[in-house]
Amino acid sequence: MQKTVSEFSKAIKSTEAAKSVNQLIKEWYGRAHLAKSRGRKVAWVMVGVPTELLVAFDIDAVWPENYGTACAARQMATHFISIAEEEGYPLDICSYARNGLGYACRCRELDTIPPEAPHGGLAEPDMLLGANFLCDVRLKWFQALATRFLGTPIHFLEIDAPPYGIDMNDQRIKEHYVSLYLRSLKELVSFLEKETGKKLDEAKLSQALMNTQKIFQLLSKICDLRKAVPSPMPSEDEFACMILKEFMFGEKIAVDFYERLYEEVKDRVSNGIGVIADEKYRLLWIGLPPWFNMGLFNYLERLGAVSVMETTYYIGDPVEIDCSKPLEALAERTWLKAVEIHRCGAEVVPENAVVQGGLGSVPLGLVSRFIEEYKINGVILHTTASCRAISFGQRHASYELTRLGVPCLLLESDMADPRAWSDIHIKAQVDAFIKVLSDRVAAGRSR
Amino acid sequence: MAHYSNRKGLALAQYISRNRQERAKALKAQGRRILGYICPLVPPELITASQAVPYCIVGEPMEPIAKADLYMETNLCPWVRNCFDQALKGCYQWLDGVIMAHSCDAVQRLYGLWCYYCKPAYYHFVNVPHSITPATRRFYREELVMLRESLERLVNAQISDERLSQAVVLHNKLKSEVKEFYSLRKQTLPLVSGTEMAYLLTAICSIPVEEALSLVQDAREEVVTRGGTGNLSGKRGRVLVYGSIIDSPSLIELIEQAGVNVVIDDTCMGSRNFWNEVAHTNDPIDGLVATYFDQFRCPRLIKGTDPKRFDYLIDMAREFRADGIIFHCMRFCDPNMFEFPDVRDKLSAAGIPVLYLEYDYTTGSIARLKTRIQAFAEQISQQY
Repeated sequence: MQKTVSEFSKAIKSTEAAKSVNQLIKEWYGRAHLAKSRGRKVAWVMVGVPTELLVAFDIDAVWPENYGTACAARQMATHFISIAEEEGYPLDICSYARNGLGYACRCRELDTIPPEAPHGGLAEPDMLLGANFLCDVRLKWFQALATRFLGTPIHFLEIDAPPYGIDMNDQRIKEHYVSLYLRSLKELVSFLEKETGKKLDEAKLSQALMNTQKIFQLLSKICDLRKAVPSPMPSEDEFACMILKEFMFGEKIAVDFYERLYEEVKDRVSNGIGVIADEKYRLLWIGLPPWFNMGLFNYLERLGAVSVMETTYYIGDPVEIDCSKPLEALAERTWLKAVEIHRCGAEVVPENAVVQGGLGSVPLGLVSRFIEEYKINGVILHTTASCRAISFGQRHASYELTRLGVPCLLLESDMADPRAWSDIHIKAQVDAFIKVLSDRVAAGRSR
Repeated sequence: MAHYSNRKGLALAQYISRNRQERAKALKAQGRRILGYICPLVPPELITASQAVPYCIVGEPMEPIAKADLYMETNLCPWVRNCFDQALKGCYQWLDGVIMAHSCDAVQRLYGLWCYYCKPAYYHFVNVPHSITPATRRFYREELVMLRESLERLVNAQISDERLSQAVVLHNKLKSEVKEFYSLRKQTLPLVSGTEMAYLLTAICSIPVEEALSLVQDAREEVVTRGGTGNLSGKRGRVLVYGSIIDSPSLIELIEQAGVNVVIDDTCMGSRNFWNEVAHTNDPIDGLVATYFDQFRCPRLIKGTDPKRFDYLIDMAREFRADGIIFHCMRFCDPNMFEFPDVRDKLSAAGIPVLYLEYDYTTGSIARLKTRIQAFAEQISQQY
């Protein structure tokens, strides 16, 4: 029987933990609405702003970037994206941003939260907290929101990344960047103290950092477990759990979740429980997923291929920091992540290094390591049309990997805008790629 | 400059612009060090102070991209891809080094790929924060200090404060001359066309500052003497061109062929580079920080959220009596794309029509652009 790609379907996940995230997401968005109704401060926040700081200030955060993901998953992104484009925002702009700006347009039009907005929309912000992690868009988006729609107090955190070729062992370079991170964090703290009327609770921040350290350790152990054959936990599960890593670092709920996930994955490994019964091909996924059509991963699985690991949102190795000096620890952590990225071979994207954002792009050294450790047969690189920041480096990586004999598939669509998806083309490419892997495996080659 | 003895002023500017590498290579043959740079956030004063010649790296819109697509995504700034393609083809192999600034995501990533594949003899990256705060100003200042030290190691000589100040004075003279040259376009019949200006601008960033100064002075004398010219009269409508980098006269030429005069621009190889002189400061680095970080106008620098930050555009349009603004946005240029609705609304409220012109840096898009420009030219010419 001819297998077909399901057009725009949600992923069927393997782990119970990942399956439970949907409910958690609903509660998470609801939390901000509840906070607003009770007069607590709500901030719209960009990835890059340490979540631990928000915990320390008791600020309920809403993440417009994640809202792009949520709207895409519920097939609502096209609606808001179209509104943004009518407003004058070009269609090449990040689809998360177009979704968010379109949402803001609609709020302005109705003078309230749109009834069609998933999760009851975004709680109205008291402040905007931007950061320049990974791309210009994060700053320009929030600048546009504040200029055009919200008029809310706004602050930007600067976490510039050391560039390619710089000597990361040079103490002066370290001091130069750590000073920026620390001073920039202190400027953010001053802003938050002014907006909340409270002083930074350093004890609370320290505790939040210690929670994150626990999460770090758990994530590292889970990543190790995922090397098992058959794969106990696929990429679609990891992407489903992403919100805890990206947006809930520092919170007890994230620690509890990852403890649960770790036990489950450990159990699956012990019992040889894989994602599919007959795992033929192990894939590495690079890039953002198509949130509107996560069923793609199940399609791959029907062909015997499991995406066993992904580079996107991978946060790297745990780092040692002194949580008793929390602001210094945050700055040190950012630096240590920058060192790690450089060590991983970030010739293309020496990106701003934050923990929760993860290594969003393509550090070639890391990819090579994953290919060996996860016994990868082939690599899928998903070039997202409107996210140039994360896509940049995929061609370079693909070129280098192909030279090394690693089969690569470059798919092109988008992360939130389904109009960039071509079912027939994607299906044809995936089928051909699996055929390549099949031929190689039949010839006795691992790749 | 005996090689150019039969050319002077605007004719020489046009020649240099069309043969950009010729003079720089001749100087290299004479022993000068030529350092390519991308973005004025790499202050050219520092390169001049090191006794090297700052050479602004540009693309070649007439050449299709051949090699860059192997290593670089196609959903990326076409200008960056084109420059990288030029580099891969070996067109920039003769440079003694490259210095790039963190002008945008695309250039930031271009730097890594350029170094990885083209292996320049010398390379340096100037990291530039986006928002302007005490912390970020301090960081950018230190970046310039480190660039200075890096150049000192390259040339094996100290760049003293005195030498840097002298370079600042020279570049300030150039800024002043160029700004004065711009003012010749304020008149009802501009004394120089936008196309001629574009040739001059692309020429002067490829030769030493002393030669650039001489060129601008000669050109100014020429245009003042000749008065209004036939190709400038008869045009109805004056435009300000705003937005992404314009590194070739061809786009300006296209606009003027539609029947309007381009009387002023707000772009990085244009007026943004020349409008503010560097203040004399005890430590000349501080003056550079003030000009290239605090004051520099570019949407990649976050200058707050008050729509009044676009007031200067209205003032500029009024000063040069522009009837309309062409918002030139290189495809995939995020900093400019995000600004468009606010710029459009602000200017429209001031009675200044705006045309959004997306350019993909290829000759294939010319016909499409021409139609839109002609329609806009008709719209703004109606008042004449």
